[in-house]
Amino acid sequence: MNGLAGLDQTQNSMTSESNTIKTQLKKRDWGQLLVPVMLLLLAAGLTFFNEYFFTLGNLLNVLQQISILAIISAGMTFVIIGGGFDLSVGSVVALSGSLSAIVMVRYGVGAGIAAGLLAGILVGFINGSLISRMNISPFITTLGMLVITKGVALGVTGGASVLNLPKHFAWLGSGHIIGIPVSGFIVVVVFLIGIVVLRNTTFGIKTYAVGGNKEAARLLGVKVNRIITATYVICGFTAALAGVLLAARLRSGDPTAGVGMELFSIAAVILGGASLHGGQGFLSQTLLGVLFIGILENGLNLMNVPYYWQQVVIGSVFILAACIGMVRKQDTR
Amino acid sequence: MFSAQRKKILGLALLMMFLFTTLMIGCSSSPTPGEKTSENKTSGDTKSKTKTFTVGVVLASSTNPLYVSMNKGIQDKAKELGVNIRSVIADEDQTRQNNGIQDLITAKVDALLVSPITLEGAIPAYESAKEAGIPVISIARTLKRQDIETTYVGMDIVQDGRNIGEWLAKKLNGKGKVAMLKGVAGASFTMDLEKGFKEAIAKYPEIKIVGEVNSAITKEQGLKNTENFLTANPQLDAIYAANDELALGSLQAVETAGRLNKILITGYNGTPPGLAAVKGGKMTVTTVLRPYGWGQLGIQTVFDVLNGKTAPNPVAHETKLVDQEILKNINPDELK
Repeated sequence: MNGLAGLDQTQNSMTSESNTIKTQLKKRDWGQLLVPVMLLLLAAGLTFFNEYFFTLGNLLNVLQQISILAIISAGMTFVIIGGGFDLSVGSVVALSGSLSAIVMVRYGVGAGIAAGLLAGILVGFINGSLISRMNISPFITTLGMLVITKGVALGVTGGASVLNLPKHFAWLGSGHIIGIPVSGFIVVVVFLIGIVVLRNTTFGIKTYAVGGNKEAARLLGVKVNRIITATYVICGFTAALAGVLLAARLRSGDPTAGVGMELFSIAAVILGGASLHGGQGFLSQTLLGVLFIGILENGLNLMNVPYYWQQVVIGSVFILAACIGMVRKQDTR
Repeated sequence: MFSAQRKKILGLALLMMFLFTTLMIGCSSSPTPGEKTSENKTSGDTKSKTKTFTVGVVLASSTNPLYVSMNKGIQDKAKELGVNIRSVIADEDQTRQNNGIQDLITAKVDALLVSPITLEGAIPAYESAKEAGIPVISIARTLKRQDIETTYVGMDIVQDGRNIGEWLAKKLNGKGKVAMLKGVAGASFTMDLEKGFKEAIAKYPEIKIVGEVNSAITKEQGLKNTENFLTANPQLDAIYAANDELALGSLQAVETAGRLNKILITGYNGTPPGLAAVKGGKMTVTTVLRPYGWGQLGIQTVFDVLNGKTAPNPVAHETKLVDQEILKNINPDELK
């Protein structure tokens, strides 16, 4: 209980800080409306121009398609709010997917899933510790971990996919409950937990404080290193969860799966209005950002836009997201 | 304050421009759905002769030269057959491929032509297509699952190996020493090629395989291993290489040793540098995979299936073995 008393004290001493954070949390600036508006416009446009888009089948299909990116982005939101970012998540997806597949084939589904998740937590812990305690930049640390983790994934699998996973494991990735993809339920659970943690726990508020101004938070008695490490652990965990789900969806542990997802998930979080400078962002908005990317890709495919041009469009969205971020930042200052 | 206002306007303007562009691109390049439905209505029950089919194409890669020219073959032949093509490009990413297939199923294509990336990983997408009643034809790689894969358009690599063996035996007059650069250990195509080659050579008791080595498929490995072969067997008559890259490396070693044209070198793949070496009389023989023709055969097979014909499984794509003599007289189209 000592810990709790300590927390109360910290909270008292940082009332003014946490008040501004709370007002920020409540303040709905115009930028926050932008993603929902863009999303609505996009959906409306697609519904109007394409007969297949607004069908139940396709919407469930989109839900299935975005689930992996959504789960990764949930953890990424924590890291970005805390003032960092994580390039290693794509490789963690590959590592946890293939590791859980290897373990699963020998020791069963439970052990496999646990192994995959632990691997992600470990990578997150290493990332977080190096960044917070050794003060190495997130870019270099997580880039290094990206390469290392990818290497380990290729090493443990010998470069080949791990096959023959149990049938009921595949259900996690491609099964349905009352017509809704299982992975969709998992997304909802992950985001609900994440939202509660960010809004209603001292950990969540401290994460905003650390991301907003690390030194100020430190002076107010927040254990900055622990908070930062925790955000990376959360990010590693969600990436690993996504990796396990992807393995279930592909019915194999693929050591090259998830490549490039780190950039898409960072883009989704930024698109959702978080700032790469930290201290800002909301999980619900991240989910909208993910939805935007997912619907955009789905729509471009449905509209038969050649892939090369799809990339141009998607890249433009990322830059647009950054523009919005800049404008909003200047707005709030 | 004023500048913030202006920035907001700028942001909104960018947003509108972007959405507008997206829709423009989308509209300009999607005449398919409307066309198709009207066609459907008019053709109705008058069999498929007047109906315009739409085929979804999802190849494994958009940059690998093999798939680039396969895709070209598909596009050109589709135009000739009057088939609409909708392609999604997966770039060796199984998730992207599955999502693409799912989207094409949603867009109600009549059939799918797919080169699956990881075999096992592609199964869920094939299953969804089956559920939607859309036939899936595999090209270049096969799931070997007849329940969900309508047929497979592929080449018979074992036969290619036999052809190389037969050709070499003839050139050697049924007698000589051969060393083998077998390529990657455990890869199915290198093993199949090796199997066919050895089958053919086994018929000639006086042809001896004096060396065999697995390696990565690079020029360096071809060079290094051939040097070793030449040291161990000064009387070598021929070198089998599982790929043109290996053969080109081997060629360098043979040339350095002053044995050019005394040692026969067989390659495989028909890459442009490989073909040039055969044309120049340095490398003795290679096999061209004809990816363009492969793509044509692929879409033709899909067309036949859609028109109710039963396609054999697998549909055999023929590669072509070429030496300097054949290259001199060949119509370049036959190499495509």
